[in-house]
Amino acid sequence: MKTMKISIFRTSAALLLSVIFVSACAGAKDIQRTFSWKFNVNRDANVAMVNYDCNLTIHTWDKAETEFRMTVDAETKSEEDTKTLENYLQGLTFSNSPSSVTFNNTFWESRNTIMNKTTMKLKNGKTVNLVSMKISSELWIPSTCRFDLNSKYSQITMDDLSGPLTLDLYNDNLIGGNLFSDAEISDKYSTMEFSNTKNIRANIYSSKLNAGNSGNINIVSKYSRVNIKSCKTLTVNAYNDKYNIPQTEDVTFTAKYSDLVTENSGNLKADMYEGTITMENAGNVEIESKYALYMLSNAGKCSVSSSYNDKLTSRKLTSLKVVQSKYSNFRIDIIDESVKDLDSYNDTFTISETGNAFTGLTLTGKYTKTTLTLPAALSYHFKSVVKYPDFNINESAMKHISKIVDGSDVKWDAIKGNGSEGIPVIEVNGYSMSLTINEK
Amino acid sequence: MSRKLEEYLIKERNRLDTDSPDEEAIWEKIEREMLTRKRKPALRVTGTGWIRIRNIAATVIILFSLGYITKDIIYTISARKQITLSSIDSNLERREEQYKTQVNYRIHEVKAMPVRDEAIISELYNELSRLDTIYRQSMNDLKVLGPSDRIINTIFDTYEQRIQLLELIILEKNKIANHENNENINL
Repeated sequence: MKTMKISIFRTSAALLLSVIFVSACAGAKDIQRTFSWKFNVNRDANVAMVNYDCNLTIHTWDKAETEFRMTVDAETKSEEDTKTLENYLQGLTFSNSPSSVTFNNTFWESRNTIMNKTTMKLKNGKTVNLVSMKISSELWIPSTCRFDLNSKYSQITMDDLSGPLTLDLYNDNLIGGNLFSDAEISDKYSTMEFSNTKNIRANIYSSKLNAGNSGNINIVSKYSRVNIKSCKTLTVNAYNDKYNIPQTEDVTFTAKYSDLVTENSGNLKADMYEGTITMENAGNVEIESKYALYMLSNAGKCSVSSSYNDKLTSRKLTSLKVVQSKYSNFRIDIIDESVKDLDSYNDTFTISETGNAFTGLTLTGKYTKTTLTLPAALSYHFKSVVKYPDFNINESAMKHISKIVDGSDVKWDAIKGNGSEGIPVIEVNGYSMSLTINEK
Repeated sequence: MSRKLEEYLIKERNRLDTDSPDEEAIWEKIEREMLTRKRKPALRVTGTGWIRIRNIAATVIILFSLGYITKDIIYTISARKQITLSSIDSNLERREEQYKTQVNYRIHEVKAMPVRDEAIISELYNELSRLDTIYRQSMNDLKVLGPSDRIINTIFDTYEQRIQLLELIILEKNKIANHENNENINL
């Protein structure tokens, strides 16, 4: 009796397992098919492409037509699913007119993948179960069309494009050719690479943007890296970014926690918080800054409206004018014309050499230390009204016009060398100011 | 005790054996019982077989139903459940745990510092919450697309950015403290 019971149980279990196995395996079928759509359009038509999780190749041609080919390689769970999907894709239509076409390869309403098995609800309400699915697309567009690409999680390659381009990307990898018209880019987490481009306006987040010679660049960026061979004007609003553009025209760099490196630039306007600007050659420089580092090898006139805890080093500057500064460090190898700080607090100025056009140094402030090296033969006019001064200058070489010492207050007016009109003026005013003048 | 009883029965046998059995009545009873027994077994054998078959069928149906119900429940729960990196790969789980440890370490560090109500620090906290949104979005995308390197990289990227932002918060808080020190020294 017991043996019979075991036998019945075993038979039932085997039957049950067989039913489960057969139902799991039976009916699986592959779809490997390319679907294509072709429309006649104007050469300057608006062509839009919505792309999702699909490798896309965009070709441009001289024809007044567009063609979209979508290759689907899928394995479904049943014959019925295969038919449903194939029929649906065959009947897929895209809105089109001679002036605009929109292609969209997101043909599902919703998709859910669990344990590598996908359940897809199509836009006609039917549901298909997929074991696997890979889609790749190819798109042919007129080279002069206005092209809009919206894409997510895809690998994209694109030919040269003459018409304007709009990109809205998320986590893509785009390799593009030359862009002969302007481009507008909005992106998160993508890598974009172009050959030469015209003007680019971009809003990028955690992106990598690489380009060759470009037009005007206007970028709002966060956590991104931008490498462009050269550009015309560069306008940047950056947060935690790194920019490397060897050749630029004028630069406006508004940034936090960001770095900019250039070799040859036009004028620079920087509004910085915690970051570094490195320029080999620059025009005139305007700075408003906090906790930033500037390394300007050769620059023109440098005007600092506000500086807090910054460091500016330069091999050669035409002039340096500071309106307000605190805890900052200015180190200049050669100053051509002048140095001026109207409100300095606990700063350090080190000027190692002056040029032939040197007109003087004027500092007003508190607790500021200055070291100035002048040619031994240079005549200059020295003026000072300081409480608690700390001057280290060769008094013996000076002709005193007046020197009034009243306790800690010192008012001093003297001339070194020949006191002719137009000689440089060294003027230090304020409280606890320190000045060392070296001669060489 | 049993020996005493035996001795008692031997001694008192003659006195106790007074009644004789009614043999006729006994045979009648036996005959009646045999008739009843003959009918019952025939019925019981057929019934048990049917019951067994019925039971097996019921078990199979119940198992099938339970299977379908369980499958349905598991599927619904899985569909609702947020996919995690640990459900994809144990290496990913380990990597995520390492990031989480680093993030938590810095969060403790930030919490140990005095609260600063500075615009720059608020901005950093806003950036942190924006990263939470991106993290949730990536997890949803993982549910749609399944395991995808791009999505997984984005998820780890959000951890790296979190660490970087927390370090900036620490840096900013230190800066404010240093600034206050500097100002006090100069006063």
